[in-house]
Amino acid sequence: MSSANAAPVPRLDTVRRVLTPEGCELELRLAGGIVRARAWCIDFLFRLLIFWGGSLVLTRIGSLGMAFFLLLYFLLEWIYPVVFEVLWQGATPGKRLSGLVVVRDDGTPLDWSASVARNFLRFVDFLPFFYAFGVLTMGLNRENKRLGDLLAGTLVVYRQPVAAPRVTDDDATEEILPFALSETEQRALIEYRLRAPGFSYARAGELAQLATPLTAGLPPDDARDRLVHLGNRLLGRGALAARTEGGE
Amino acid sequence: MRLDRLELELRRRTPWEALDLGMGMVRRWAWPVYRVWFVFVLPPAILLLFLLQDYAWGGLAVWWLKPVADRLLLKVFAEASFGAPPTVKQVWQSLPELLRHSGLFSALTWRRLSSYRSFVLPMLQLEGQRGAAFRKRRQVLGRKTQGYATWLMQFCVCCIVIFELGLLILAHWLMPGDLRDVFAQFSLFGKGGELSHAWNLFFMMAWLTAETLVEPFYVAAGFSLYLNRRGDLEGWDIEVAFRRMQTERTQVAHPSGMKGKRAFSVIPALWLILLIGFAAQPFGANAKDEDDKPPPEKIIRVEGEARRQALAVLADPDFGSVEETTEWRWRNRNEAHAEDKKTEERNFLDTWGARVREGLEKFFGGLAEVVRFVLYGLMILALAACVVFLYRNLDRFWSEAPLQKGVRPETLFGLDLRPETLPDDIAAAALAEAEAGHWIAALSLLYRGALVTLIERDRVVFRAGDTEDLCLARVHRHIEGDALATFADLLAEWKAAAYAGRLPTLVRVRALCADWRAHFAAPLTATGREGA
Repeated sequence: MSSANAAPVPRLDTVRRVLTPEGCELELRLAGGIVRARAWCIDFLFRLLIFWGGSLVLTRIGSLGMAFFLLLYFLLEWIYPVVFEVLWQGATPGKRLSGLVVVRDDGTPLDWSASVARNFLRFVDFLPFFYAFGVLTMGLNRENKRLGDLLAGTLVVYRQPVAAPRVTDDDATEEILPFALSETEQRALIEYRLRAPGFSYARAGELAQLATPLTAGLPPDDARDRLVHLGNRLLGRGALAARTEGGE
Repeated sequence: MRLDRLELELRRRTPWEALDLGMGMVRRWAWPVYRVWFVFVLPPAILLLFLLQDYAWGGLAVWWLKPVADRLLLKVFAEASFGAPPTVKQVWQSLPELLRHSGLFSALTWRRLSSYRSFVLPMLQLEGQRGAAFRKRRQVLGRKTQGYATWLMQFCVCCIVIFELGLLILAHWLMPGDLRDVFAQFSLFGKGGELSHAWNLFFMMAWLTAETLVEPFYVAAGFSLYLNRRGDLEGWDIEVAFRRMQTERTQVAHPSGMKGKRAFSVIPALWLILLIGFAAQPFGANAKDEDDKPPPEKIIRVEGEARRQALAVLADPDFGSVEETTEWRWRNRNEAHAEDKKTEERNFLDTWGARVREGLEKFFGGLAEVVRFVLYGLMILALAACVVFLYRNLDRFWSEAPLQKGVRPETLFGLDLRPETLPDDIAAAALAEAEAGHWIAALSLLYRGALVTLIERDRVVFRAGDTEDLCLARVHRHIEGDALATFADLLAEWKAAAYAGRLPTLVRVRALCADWRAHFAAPLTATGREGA
């Protein structure tokens, strides 16, 4: 399919790595336009509901009600995202439901000034029509920042790590590793153990045979079983099974 | 397929992240993608628009042929992902192949309105699946992903509308005021065709611009969604890791492959129809406007030379016209009410509805009364809070002296600065302390005394967080000459003693005390720069 050599540029990903002063490397998984638009839609729905509920009551008590009605509108438009982002762990209800969180560029939580800056600049992102500038800006920088994010130095990232598939079978047989494995090899083995039940049987065997140092000479099915058992060992599933049996 | 050549990081991703990765792909391969777009897609599209002469049909034709463009884009993205973005020439050479063997016929007919076109495209074009095999494949890959593909489609359609309208609005804003209604002027004098032509052309260009921005992302995100699903199903990341283990530990090699199976559904892309409707609508509406010639007063606002002239021309009775228009309006509610009561059933429904309405009305009316009191209560509370706040901070707003003096700190960097804590004759007291061996106490006395004198006599404003050097800087504007030198010496000795533990000699302290007496023992009533 190609003739070029391996590229010197790093592989494409949507992760921003931040080095903390303690020397830890944080992975911030940047959220893109679609999931953020979804969060916005949910928030819009919430705001609409509140607005509608308020209008039902407030329009019935004359000019006082009208004054508070306008106040409510103002608050929903400008203060709603700020308050939620600062006081509710960096997420409006829509963002929370979409698994998003707003943080500062270095991964620290949002403060008032940053949140006010990014949300008050929504007004500019909204121009000329329905976040056209915002969407365009998000496309033009690597971190999916709209203008408000650029100003405030904030990022919208995913809150949770990608969920690892849960092992549903009860295969807990363990085999002892024939030699020491590096960390990445161990990770690959665990990954294989977790996902093997999801692969087609043929593919699982084929993959297992690729790990020749561990499965040399074995037919596909045996190779698969062997890797699963080694994975069980790394996951400590044998001990876990023994404990639950003892508990019962 | 050489997975190790893949330029995309292989890891477990949520489908949302896969969509985000599509944006990253557009960013990284913007040049190879857009050169193909500007060479092979945009010129034919514009040509087609002009050939068909009719913007509504031309626009529809161009829109309908978008799957052709998708195939070119996917070729670029697919090959770029493996490290070899194709050149324009390579794309040109592969064109016949792409048109013949990528399921184009079905894509342009019954699959045209599929809501996950770009997600399915790699199966047709790269895998070459057809018929029953394709359906099976689509079911397997689409099982957990098709919902996201639908989100992608909705987002892209929204983006196109937003960019298109955004451009039109932006153009409208940026048009000089004098020219803003130039199109309307044209329509009055021309035959009505000129204007709609110009507007339509502009509209189409805005649409093509929007497509230029969105379509590559749409294809890339669909492709990335497809790759993510396959990588997940086939354990691509595991394969790469195992292969690496293999090469690192042994020299044995094995071939690779792929497989998989399962379910999904079809949703008609109503959105797109909506878009066409939307795109076609303004043409008709526009053309009608020009024929109708609305009353000139409404179009022309008086400002600018051209407009004034136009207004003069339009003042001619020839241009005045009366017209009949039809529009929809709400009927009189009561009237509708009376007519509805024709049949028994209606009557029943109506009274029932009325009762519900009445009940709701009562409920909300009651609630509103309660809320009214709550709001009054809130207002009173807010007012009370304001009064309390003002009362507590009265001196800040009304008292003049503190404003002039600044806030006088009682302590600076832990030193007690209340005058009543200092002895009357500070220099003598300090000397006595020094002779008794209490160096720090002696220096501290002198330093504190100097600060108090500066605050009280020279009106120097210190802040609670000032450092020694900042104090010196602040003092600069208030005293000069020997006094300043004495203060600087004192500070230096204080810093050396307090922070570095280097104690001064007794002689030095005596000299300091003498200087201090000369410059800082001045009476409190003295003001200005007399200390020097």
